[in-house]
Amino acid sequence: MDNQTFFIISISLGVFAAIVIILFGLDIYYLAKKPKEEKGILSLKFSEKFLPELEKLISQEIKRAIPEINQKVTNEAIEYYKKQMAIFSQEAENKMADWDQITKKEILKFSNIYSQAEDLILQAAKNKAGELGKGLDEKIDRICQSATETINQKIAQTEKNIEDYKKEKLKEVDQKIYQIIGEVAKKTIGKAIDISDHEKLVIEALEKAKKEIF
Amino acid sequence: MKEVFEELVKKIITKEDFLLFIEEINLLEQVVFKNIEVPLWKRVKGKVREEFRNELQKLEKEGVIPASPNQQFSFFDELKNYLQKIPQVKLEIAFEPSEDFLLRIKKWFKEENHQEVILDITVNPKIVGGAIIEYQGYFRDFSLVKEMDKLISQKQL
Repeated sequence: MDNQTFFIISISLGVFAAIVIILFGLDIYYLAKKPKEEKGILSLKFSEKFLPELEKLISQEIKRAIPEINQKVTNEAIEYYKKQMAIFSQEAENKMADWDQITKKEILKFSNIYSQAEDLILQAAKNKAGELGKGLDEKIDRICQSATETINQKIAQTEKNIEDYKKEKLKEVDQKIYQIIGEVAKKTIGKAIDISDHEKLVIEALEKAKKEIF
Repeated sequence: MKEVFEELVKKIITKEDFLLFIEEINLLEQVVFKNIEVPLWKRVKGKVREEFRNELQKLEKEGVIPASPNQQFSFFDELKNYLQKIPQVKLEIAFEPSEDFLLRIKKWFKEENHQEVILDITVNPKIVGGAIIEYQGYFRDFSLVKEMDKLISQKQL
């Protein structure tokens, strides 16, 4: 506002100086048009009236000029304010644009934050779901483990039964094998033993019997 | 007399020998009262083993066998009683024994048990080897088949 006041005053003084110069110019022009014999008198008259006339003229001019000046000042002020308003408007627009940018940035930022928050929430939800899933997995694991144990027990029992059955069957087979071996041996060994060995066996049998019955 | 009997019994190894000998003695007992003017050993020609007949001849010449039929009968009767008192050993073996082996067994009994025995031999290849012995009510199975069965039973357990 101080600058505006200073500007108005400067304009007013400028206008006033211009008026003075114009009046002085007009006065010189008017004197130049009058007869030469009246030059001395006129010169005297001028000098006598000049100041009051000048003061009057100036006063009149000032009175006349003030509204113009006021008008001009007002116009200037209006123009200035218009300009200022335009500048302000421009600045406001710029500010608005800036604000728009800032808002957009803030919105973007908020959007990012929201996105991050959403991600966090999603992550938390996933974690929760993971925990739930983990719990479910643990339950499934327990069920599986229990089922596995039962199955393993059944398998072990079955394997034992198979093993027992196998042993029994192998025993039966062994018995049959030994029976066959025995039968074959009985049929072959007797023939394979030579007479002298047969005789030795009989004598040995007698020796054994001697201790017990003879 | 006992020595004479023992000498005669030496030739008896198996139960078959014994039965044959008893049969021959029974025949002699039947013959002693017939054709008494003919020596006994001549009367049984062709009816007893030649070996035994030679033995009879020897004993008659030596006077071991009495001359009268009754005494001869008593002699053979005593001999028969003597023979019947000889213990029999039942032996079941897996092979056909040779004469030598049977004598060896008989000798074994004489040496180890100090008595004459008559061997009742049964050949049964199923016993594989060894012998199943039956003697005066005692029974012992020393056969290989028994050992094998024992072994198989142990393996089967």
